[in-house]
Amino acid sequence: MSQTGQIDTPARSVISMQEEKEKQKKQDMQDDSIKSIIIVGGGTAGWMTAAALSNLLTHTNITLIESDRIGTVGVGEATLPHLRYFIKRLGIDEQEFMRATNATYKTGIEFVNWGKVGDAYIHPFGDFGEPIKGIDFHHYYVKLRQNGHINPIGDYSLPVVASKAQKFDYPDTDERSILSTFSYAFHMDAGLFAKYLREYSTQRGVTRQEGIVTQVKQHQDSGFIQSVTLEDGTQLSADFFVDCSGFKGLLIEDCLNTGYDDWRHWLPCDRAIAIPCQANTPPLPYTRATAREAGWQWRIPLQNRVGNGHIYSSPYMDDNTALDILLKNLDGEPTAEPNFLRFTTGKRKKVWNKNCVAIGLSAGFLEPLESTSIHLIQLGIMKLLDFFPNKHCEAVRVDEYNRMMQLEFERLRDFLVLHYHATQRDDSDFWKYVRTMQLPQGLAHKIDLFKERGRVVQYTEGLFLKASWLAVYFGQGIIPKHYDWQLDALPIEQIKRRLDEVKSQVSLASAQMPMHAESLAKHCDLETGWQTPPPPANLSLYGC
Amino acid sequence: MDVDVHMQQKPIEPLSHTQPSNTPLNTIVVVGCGLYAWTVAACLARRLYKTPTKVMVVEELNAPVDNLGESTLPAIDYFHRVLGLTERQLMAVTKGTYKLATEYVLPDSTLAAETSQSNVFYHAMSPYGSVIDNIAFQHHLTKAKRAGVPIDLNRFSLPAAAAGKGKFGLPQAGAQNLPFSYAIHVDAKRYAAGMKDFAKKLGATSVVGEISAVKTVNIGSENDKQCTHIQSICLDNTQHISADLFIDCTAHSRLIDQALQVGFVDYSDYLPCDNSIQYVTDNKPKPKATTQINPNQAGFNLNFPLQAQTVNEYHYSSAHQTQEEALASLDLDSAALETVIFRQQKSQRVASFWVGNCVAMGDAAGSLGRIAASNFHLVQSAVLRLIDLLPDRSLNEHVECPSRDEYNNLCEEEYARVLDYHCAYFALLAREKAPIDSPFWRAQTQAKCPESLMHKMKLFEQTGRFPFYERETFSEKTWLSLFLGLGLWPKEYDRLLDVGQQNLQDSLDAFEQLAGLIDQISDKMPAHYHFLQQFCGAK
Ligand SMILES: Cc1cc2nc3c(=O)[nH]c(=O)nc-3n(C[C@H](O)[C@H](O)[C@H](O)COP(=O)(O)OP(=O)(O)OC[C@H]3O[C@@H](n4cnc5c(N)ncnc54)[C@H](O)[C@@H]3O)c2cc1C
Repeated sequence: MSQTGQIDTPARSVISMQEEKEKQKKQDMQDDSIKSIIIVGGGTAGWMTAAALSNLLTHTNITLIESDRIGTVGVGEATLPHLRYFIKRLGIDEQEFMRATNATYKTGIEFVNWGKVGDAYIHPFGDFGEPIKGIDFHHYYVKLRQNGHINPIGDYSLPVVASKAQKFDYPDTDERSILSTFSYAFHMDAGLFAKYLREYSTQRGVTRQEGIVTQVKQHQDSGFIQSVTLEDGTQLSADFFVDCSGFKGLLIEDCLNTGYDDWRHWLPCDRAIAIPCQANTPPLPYTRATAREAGWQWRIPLQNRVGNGHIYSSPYMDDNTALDILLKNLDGEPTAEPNFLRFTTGKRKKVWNKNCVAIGLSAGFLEPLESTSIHLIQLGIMKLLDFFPNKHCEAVRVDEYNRMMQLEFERLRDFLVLHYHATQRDDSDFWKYVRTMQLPQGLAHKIDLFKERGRVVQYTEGLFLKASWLAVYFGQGIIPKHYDWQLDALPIEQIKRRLDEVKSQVSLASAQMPMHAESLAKHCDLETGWQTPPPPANLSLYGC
Repeated sequence: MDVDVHMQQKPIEPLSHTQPSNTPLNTIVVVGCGLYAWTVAACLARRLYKTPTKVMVVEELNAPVDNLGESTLPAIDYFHRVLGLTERQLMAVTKGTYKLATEYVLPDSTLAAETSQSNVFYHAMSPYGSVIDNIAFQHHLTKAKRAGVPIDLNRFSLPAAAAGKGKFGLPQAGAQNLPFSYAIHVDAKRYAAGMKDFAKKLGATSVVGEISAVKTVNIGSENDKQCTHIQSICLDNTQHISADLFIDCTAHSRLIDQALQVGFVDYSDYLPCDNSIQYVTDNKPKPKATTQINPNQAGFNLNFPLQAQTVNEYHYSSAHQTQEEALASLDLDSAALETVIFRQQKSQRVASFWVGNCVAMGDAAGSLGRIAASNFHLVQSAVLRLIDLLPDRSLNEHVECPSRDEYNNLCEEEYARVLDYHCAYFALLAREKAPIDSPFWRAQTQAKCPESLMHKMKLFEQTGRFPFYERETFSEKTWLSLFLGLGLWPKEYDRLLDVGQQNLQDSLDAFEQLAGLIDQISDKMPAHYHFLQQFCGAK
């Protein structure tokens, strides 16, 4: 009784005619299509972009210009689980990648001295308990606290408990298993990663051009970028340009004058000193971020060494003091000279302008506190491929790309600002400032809502979701006044029993996991690695 | 002596009494009657069962008539599960039927060129097609379409195909991992009675009366509307009812607007239908599991079956037709005429959904019309959200209330997205020319639509992608099939389709295979009506 008519399958002859037509149309389309791309910059951003584009745009000419004389920032060593998805999409074997970059596993970040001196908590790649009867786990936890049973919320999170015990294993793919409740990422040598991707990209047809760009030419009418000129006079033109030139933004800023939003009043750190040192203990499966008087220090364990750095705010601390603090707090002997870096936290007003997209530090820089930079590079690349333009770069496409990246940057920013603001520290001018500074619009409301009702402002797109906000809130002493009212119907003994069960499940599961060093050795060994393949990669921070 | 005794007793006082700022609400009063009010009350009573908070309903006497029935969205299943209600029971009690799709009847001009065979698009709420060679279905479809292959979307969705055949089966019938979803149609009176019964069993109380006055108090600055709270409402000039929190479910925003004067955001420029005529007719022999929407002279017709009869609604713009003209244009027989009700409802929403201690839900919060079946859905979503953000008794002491701010933010975003969805129907139908030649529809070809929808349509047309908006009620897949089904196709498809070995014939073969499978499975499903007879007590 269908009103819907049926289509007969078109006969072959019809199809071939249609394919002809289609070819014709494709040709028409091709006049508009982008045939050549120039990437300026060969840091992590440049080579990640080159690798992804060369993998997918097989008919496009891709050239990457970099200069050995300028060098890269390349300190990005702590990553997020999303990177697994990226390398998977490139068809790269994860264990091979780990061998190539001296990588170790990362299941979270430990924050020391943030809420107050002496505090420590882990922000894990995983959730805290599961909702019970449709009510979020942390409400039960709050009710328990209010009844005098105070223990860290991390006790209910497998990646927290396992990390602390220096355990690591691949998460289970069976969603019902508690062993599936976390994701993992890597600590890696970013320099080796870029080198690896350079190899990968050039094998796939990317032309690497050594040289320093000295001049950028625009089309007279449209202002689109036409070509770049190198020191030796070589002129290279393309339909589309990706600016991966680092902080300075050679194309997006020097040429297109796009503008930059300075966020230092919210994220006042603007200096860094990086220095690697010897590893004297087995690598920990997490990053450590220790708050200092005017910033914080990172500790990132690799297979062969430990990466360290001190991030600080120049109005509150001078370089020598910062270096002193860093050198006093190393696990082992330094293995290189300190590397001094300067930056301005903030974001390019538009990351896509005309026929140029900025990816990497040229697009903006937040703060390495939550290892978000490489993730932002990845997102920039993935969205560029999603919205890949033709030569015209129509406004609607560019607008959407810019809107999404803006949203992502702002949400990350707010989450980072929370770390500084949610503190009782008043032991230095720096902490007094961040503790009392005016917050970005909306963040104050987020915090108030949590304090008041235990609700985390939710969004669906964005990197850090509920579990991450909970980790920082509870970890830095923001505790809700009240739990969900529905829990008034449940006796406290029942809640305690339930939560104790979760806690013991977590510690049992952790106890059964192998040590991080053991898993690392097994997975990175050519002989044994292939016997235990990594689980499928996805874009979740919190397990499957 | 007395003083000493008193002092000795003091420590025995329970702690909670000394912390009035963090105590649960005593009473929530829901004002209104009918389906929305009782649904809200039932949900509150269920979720706050055994907690100190009491739920009371003030049933408004002489309230305007309710809609005759409700066509729902698949999310109602979640809502019912939250309440602990089983669907079969509900279907029996409410004389309901199933809804597999919205059946858009399209004038030839819109679709003729698109599908070349059918002027009906069955819009199911689950994805159409399947991923072929790791590339989403839409890209294969777009490629085929650009090559001039006629496409009938209905064949690529099991619920859509089943709907077209007048069939219905449960999800298990959708073996082979074919996406499947459905909603229901219910008789408003029966559903309301069921919810009332349920709410009362869970301890909700009720009083009946006419609201003669609402007493308000300002707890902050005089000029700030957010600071006006309702102290009590007076029934029949005699009974005063006070509460910590009031929920306005009245038809005319009796509390939120008439008493608190919150005002409205007007959408009539976008959505011009402001009146409806509703009536029932006998069922056709085999009622389809669909809500049908059909453009008509000064608006559109919407109808859906219940077990014993069909609910018909004609929504029109009073700028184009008077009530008499509209009624006359329907040409009803006397039986149908006897059932006619008239409803007036401008497209608008309250400027603020929660003011002071008063939250508006349902008609009191405004209405975006009936096309998306969203009104009832928004009520469900609102009450769950309120429970999520339920304040404590300090609500009536402090000017600040983060829960209220959050509630209002979320509702505003939600309404904006749903508004887009409603507007999309008019924008797409009248995209190239008026679907029927009438002044109303000619006007639609020039009509405005919200920025956010414009961006969405343009981006989709250019790139085949959707913008990211937070708080979408309708998923991207649903938007996608709506756009394609109503004739908006993208200019581009995923370039990976041209990179790999895939040629067009491979895609077409995959189409036929999928459509064949869907055809087979839907054939085997029972007729919708037989299913109702067998499992839901239909006679
Ligand atoms: C202190 C610090 C710590 C960080 N920690 C982390 C972390 O833990 N995790 C994380 O994800 N991220 C981290 N980041 C960010 C991360 O380092 C960067 O996102 C990443 O290195 C990408 O940099 P880039 O490729 O954009 O720029 P760069 O590395 O600066 O590369 C710029 C490239 O442009 C080339 N170039 C510049 N000018 C010219 C020119 N005129 N002609 C030709 N070539 C030119 C250079 O040769 C170079 O190849 C950190 C950053 C800092 C500053």
